[in-house]
Amino acid sequence: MRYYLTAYIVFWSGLFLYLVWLTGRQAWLNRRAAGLVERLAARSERGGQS
Amino acid sequence: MIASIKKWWPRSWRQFWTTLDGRTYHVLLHARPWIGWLAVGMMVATFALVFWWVPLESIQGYPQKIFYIHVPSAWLMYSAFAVVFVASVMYLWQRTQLWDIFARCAAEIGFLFCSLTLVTGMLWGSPIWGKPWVWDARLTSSFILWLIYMGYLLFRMLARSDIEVGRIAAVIGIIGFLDVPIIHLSVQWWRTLHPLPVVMIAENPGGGLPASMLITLLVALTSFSLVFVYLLTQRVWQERTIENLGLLEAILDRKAEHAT
Repeated sequence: MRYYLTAYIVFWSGLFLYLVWLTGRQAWLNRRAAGLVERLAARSERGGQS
Repeated sequence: MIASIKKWWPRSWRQFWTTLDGRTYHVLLHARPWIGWLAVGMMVATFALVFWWVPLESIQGYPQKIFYIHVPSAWLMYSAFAVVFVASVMYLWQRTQLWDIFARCAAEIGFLFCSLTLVTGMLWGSPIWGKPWVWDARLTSSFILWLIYMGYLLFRMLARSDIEVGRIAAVIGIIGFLDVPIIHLSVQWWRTLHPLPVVMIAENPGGGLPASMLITLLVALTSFSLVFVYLLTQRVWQERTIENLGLLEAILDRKAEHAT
């Protein structure tokens, strides 16, 4: 029973950590995209000049 | 009609593969949320079957239930490295960035599930063999595969020039995959401690298992396959977006430089 439960806990922990990393990367990607949108908005406010 | 077919019909193998690759990618991209929820549902069903439905094996007892995550993890690992192999061959042939991204993301997922296969195998070996690890043919060849793809991922992380990285990584990915059939056939080629196949038997497919265990295993294999498709499409989408954002940022930087 001990090994059986440990194996399932290890499996779920591995998958969970990967999903956490994936979500973190997605959050970083969203921030980067938001930064780019801000830059584009600022540029269009200046009439196309950077 | 004939004119429209002629227009659609690919003019070369290269064009055929590019069209196929683009269409498959877009279908997968749009189906991604559905695949994700289906994978969650199937995973819940798998664990419900393992915990409450499938009977305990009379000789091994509880450790035998590790089989329902160990075998599907190995299956997912094989599939992921097969994707690395195909994508690497396609990248060397076509030099399309999308194939390189597919190879990189599949290697990452394959490495995760290779690690889980090794660890769950060790947790099964501890009570059954009396020790977690033996230098048996299948365990050793699996460990070699783990080392190869760890090297592959480290190389991709640490190398500098982008064009060379894709090319060299593709060669490592192709050579690394050659270990997969060796792992699979190792239990037949050499006398090993690792159990022989119970499902993929040529003369009696699936006949080595009682019906309840076979059903649970098939449900687990389906759910792990869905998890793999979801994780792969999600990672490929992320990497494509990072690439596109980088391109847009570079254009904006260049325009800013010209303006000053």
